[in-house]
Amino acid sequence: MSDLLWGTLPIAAMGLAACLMFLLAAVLKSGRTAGVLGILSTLILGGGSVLVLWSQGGKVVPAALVSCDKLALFFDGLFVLVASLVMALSLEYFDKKKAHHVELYGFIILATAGMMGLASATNLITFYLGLETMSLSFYVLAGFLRAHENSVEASLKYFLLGAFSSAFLLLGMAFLYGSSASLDFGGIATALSTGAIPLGEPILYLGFFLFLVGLFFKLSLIPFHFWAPDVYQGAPTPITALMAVGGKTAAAAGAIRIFLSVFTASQGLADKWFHLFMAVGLMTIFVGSMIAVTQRHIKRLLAYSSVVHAGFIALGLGALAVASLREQMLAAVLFYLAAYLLMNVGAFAVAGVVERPENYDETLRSYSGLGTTAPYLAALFSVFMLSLAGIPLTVGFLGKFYIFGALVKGGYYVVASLGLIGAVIATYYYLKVVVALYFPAAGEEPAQVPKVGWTTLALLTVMGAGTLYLGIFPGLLTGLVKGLGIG
Amino acid sequence: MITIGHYLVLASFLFVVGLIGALTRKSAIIVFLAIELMLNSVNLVFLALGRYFGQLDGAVFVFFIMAVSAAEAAIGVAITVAFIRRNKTTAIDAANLMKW
Repeated sequence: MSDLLWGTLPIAAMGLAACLMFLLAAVLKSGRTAGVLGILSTLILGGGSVLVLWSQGGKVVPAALVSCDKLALFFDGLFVLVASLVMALSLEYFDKKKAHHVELYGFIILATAGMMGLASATNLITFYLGLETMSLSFYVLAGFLRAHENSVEASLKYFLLGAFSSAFLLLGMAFLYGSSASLDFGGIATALSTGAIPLGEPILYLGFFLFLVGLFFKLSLIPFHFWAPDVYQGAPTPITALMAVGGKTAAAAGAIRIFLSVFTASQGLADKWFHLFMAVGLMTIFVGSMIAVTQRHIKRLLAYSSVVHAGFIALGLGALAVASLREQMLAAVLFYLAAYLLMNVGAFAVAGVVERPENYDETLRSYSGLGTTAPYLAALFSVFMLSLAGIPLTVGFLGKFYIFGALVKGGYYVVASLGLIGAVIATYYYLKVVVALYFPAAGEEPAQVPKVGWTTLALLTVMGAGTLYLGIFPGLLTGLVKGLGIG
Repeated sequence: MITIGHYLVLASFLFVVGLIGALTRKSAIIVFLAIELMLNSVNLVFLALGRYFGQLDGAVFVFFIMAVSAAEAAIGVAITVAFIRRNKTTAIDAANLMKW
């Protein structure tokens, strides 16, 4: 088999798995069977191809449409993991909602194939196709609980705003093409570094800004975040986890690759990238935390929490522009994204467990006093909340520590201290949830939790244990992300 | 003489028309049509640039954009139908269950 075919193996494997799942959906009656088959095919086809390629050190073909270097494989591994977790959580969640979910798993796998495409794209066409494969699957998944009006509303909002933001991204791509006469990342970089810009600098900068607007939308950075809380609140809870973790990681992966292979070629663009990401990141951390403090609905609170986390990721992405920090910061961002996966999927999983069948979201009232009625669940939820807040001994703390450590090392004291102040504000609303778990307000009956199945409990245990283990012994993960880069 | 500049101006004009339509209209279907107009203005940019550079790349990208828009339209119509069944209207003002 040629290197070109090898390089597309993970994406092709997931695409094949998605087709199989859609075909099987025509004959399968039980969503549970479909889900188990979906998880197996994802782990075997997707996970297997990632492992095989990783052991060979990746496959990079010059001037191909996708690059399958170790960086892309690392992201592919994260996507396989989050997709499997989300599918396993969906089994019980959708049964609890008495919803038909045979087709659900095909869409989750298709979305994963899109994320992989985005993470390994080296051409504007594959970048766009990966992004849209992911987004189109998300629109469908967000509206999967057709009987719940909030799910339908979330789907419509996500669809209209997603298509709207894609138009900006596309116009940006068109202008980038006009500035370089090439759609290939390498070709654009060559044009930028030699200064051969056919239509002049204004068009280049316009394209760059429009592209970033589209990217900020997908990363849900303030002021382009307004779709996220509504969509995350209305969508089925495991799907929210997929969108918040998978979608954001994929957008960050695309941003990392296009920045490292294209925009570093021009010092002017790299400077603009740095300043824009720092400004938008800090604004996101501050404004997002302030709005999150006022939230009463848990999924909406978690939605703003993931907006704020995108802000921290944006600080890391911005600092990639500093050549001396690049390697360290890339490792820090990758660590952060992996940590974010563990704790955020965990938090949304608990939110899905606590949710009553007839509801789509619960207020903090449904969590008050869980420490006495469901002690194990409450303990796990506290771990995820403390990790999201960045309390030491959790993986969330180390994620923030590495990013801020790199910023301080680079001498960006103002950015680092402002970010830290924002992180302290953010701690407040996570602790508010933990306090509600253990100290219900006077006169309030402790809330009850619907019955939890053993698969969900087992997965929650694994994620909670991982959050703590990697928070104390991060060596496993830091060893994995060290020295990764574009091939 | 029609130059590349003319095409870019026309496409930008169409993009802005679509943008204003998407931001101001109330019906979900009209908003979607306005977004399609924005996408088509991008198609025009790609085609004009591809021709200007004497490459096929621009035209190839346009085929992909059209394919994706078609898929997007199919999904959009399905979502809108689900929305109409619940709310008996296409007005996006009716999508007001979740805010702040």
